Amino acid sequence: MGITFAIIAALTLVSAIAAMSLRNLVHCALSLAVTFAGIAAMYLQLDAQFVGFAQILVYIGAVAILIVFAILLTRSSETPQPVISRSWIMGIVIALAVFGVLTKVILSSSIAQRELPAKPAPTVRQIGDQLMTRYVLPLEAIGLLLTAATIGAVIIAMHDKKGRGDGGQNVNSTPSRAEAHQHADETHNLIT
Amino acid sequence: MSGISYSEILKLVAPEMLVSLAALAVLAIDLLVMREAPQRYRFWTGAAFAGLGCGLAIAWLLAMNPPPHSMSAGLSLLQGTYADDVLVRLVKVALLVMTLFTLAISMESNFTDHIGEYLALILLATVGMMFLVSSENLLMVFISLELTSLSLYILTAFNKRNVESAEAALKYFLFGGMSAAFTLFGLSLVYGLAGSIQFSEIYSKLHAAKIDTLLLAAIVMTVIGFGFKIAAVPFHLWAPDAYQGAPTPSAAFIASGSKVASFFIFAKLMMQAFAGAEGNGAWRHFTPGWLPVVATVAACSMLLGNLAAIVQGNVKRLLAYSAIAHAGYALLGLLSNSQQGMSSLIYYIVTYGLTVLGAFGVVAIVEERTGDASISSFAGLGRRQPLLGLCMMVFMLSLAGIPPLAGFFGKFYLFTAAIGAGKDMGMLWLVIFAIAMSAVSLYYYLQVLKQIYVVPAVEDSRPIVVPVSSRIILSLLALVVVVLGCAPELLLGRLITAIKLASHQ
Repeated sequence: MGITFAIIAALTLVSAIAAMSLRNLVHCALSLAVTFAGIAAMYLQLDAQFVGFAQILVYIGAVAILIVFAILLTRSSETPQPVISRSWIMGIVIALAVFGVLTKVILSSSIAQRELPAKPAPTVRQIGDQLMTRYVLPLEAIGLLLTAATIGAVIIAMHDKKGRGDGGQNVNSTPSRAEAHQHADETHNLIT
Repeated sequence: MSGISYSEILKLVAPEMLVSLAALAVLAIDLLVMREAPQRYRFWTGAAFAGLGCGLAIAWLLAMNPPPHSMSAGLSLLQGTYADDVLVRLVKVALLVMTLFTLAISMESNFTDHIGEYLALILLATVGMMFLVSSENLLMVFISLELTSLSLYILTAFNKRNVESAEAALKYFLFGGMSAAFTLFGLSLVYGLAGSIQFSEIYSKLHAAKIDTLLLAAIVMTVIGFGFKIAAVPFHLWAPDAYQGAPTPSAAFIASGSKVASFFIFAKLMMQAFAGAEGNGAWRHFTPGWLPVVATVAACSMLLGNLAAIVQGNVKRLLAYSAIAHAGYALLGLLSNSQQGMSSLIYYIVTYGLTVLGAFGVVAIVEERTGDASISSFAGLGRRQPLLGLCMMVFMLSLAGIPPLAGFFGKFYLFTAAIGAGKDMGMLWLVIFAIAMSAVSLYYYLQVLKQIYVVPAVEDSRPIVVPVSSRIILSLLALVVVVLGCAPELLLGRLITAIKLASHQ
């Protein structure tokens, strides 16, 4: 447990830091995929097979590919300004402080003294059964959430063609309009 | 659990289902049938169908008196996932009424071509809020919070002809994502401590034990998430930009419906699930618990919201900062931690929602006619469009808390509840602070009224033409604000009986 956990944790952390700080967006996306893989390995190590494989299928299989596509299609793989800025130092200090407080609190709480419960080994059948009975309402709500997300992604990413009649909108497209599209694309990426 | 009856579940969630179906119907009708029709007709048809869905849901909520076994049946069906009592129904009706008014305000606007999608997202956000109000466990709270927030982010980004809208939505989204992560972390810690995600079981696990420091960390993180939703300081940074950049109907919806639902579930979570975390006489001595956390947030919100609102030149931004201040006042109801506090909180936030809907309705019209929403574009409104000016006066005075209007009684009940709560008036300092801050707030509300009635219009003082539908809606809202102020018992009496009933079950 100890060594495998250490390796997986180190891999996840290093790749997550790389995903934030590398300059080339494609490299960032690839390190993000490694982070996802690390998290999937973590789930598998905790005997949560279903969640682990869902993580691999959804995040590495679909989300990472989507991000790469989005980067390639928008063709802005180099970020102009230096990525590590001065305000980062403040952020890092705060993050470390929060991390310290949380670690201390978790270690000092009664949870840390509790012995580990027996590992449950839920099968996919059990998970499915629970989802269709006890958690059927949350499941339906997530369905609605995905509907809203899909509509939103399409709306934000869609080129808004102006009303019938004035087709020459793109000619006088100002920088601000281009910027708006960039924003919209970013939002789109974040939502997916 | 094998013999689960889905028809029973469908009956239980019928109002939510009606609204979701209305959302899909509006989307389908707009895309399939009304595609070529002129914008106005599309908006009218869509809003009519959306309104029909909301109306049916309201009728269902009012007509089907909750069967006495609904609580137990709900428990066995969904094991405490979904609450359905008189109080929840009352709040849901209020939410649906606000949705109806939002639909009505948006009918005259022309910021988007995607009308079906816009209306469908308003309805989906409403479904999220209704689920949120009904939820009784942490999972459901989180999912419905996300459903609501996600729909609202998109509604903020809807005006694609305006860069500000995209910027506002991006800020709103980033803040929202961050605070959702904190909430989820906090809720997972609560689950770790209590071993359950249901409010009642969390209470029974936690109320007896000594307060764990980890529980405090969890509570702080949960407060972060809700503080973001209700736009309380220090989680308010998104609010001014989002209110200013978003299309005005979306901003109105964010300020009204979403606030009501979030406040309700915030209060319910704190008062029910964490009822042990401030008990044991802990907060009499101001020792750790959720009360000091919320009290700090409330004091900061009142201070910063009111002071920052003074210097605003844009009415939408001013309303955003005033919303922050109002979140601070409303938290007093939560701080009194009693049934009286709960009823005054709901009364306050519902009347606030209706008032702010009206204010945004007026802003929407002025913005459309004059091009921007700065305070100076309201100059001479009292002469150019007397009805609009009168409505705005009612809304502004109600927000400021002037006696015959709903805002005054809301504040009055909140402050009485907070003073009466706990031993030897522990909340008195905060109430005095709130009253002082209300006096400050009068300044900037009167600033707007001064523009409307005293300052003459700049050059073209043509009367502003307002469509009949908008006139009717705004007058209706102003009337509601006046009536609820003159006869607060209409709403408050129902709330008090509903809360009594709910607590007995």
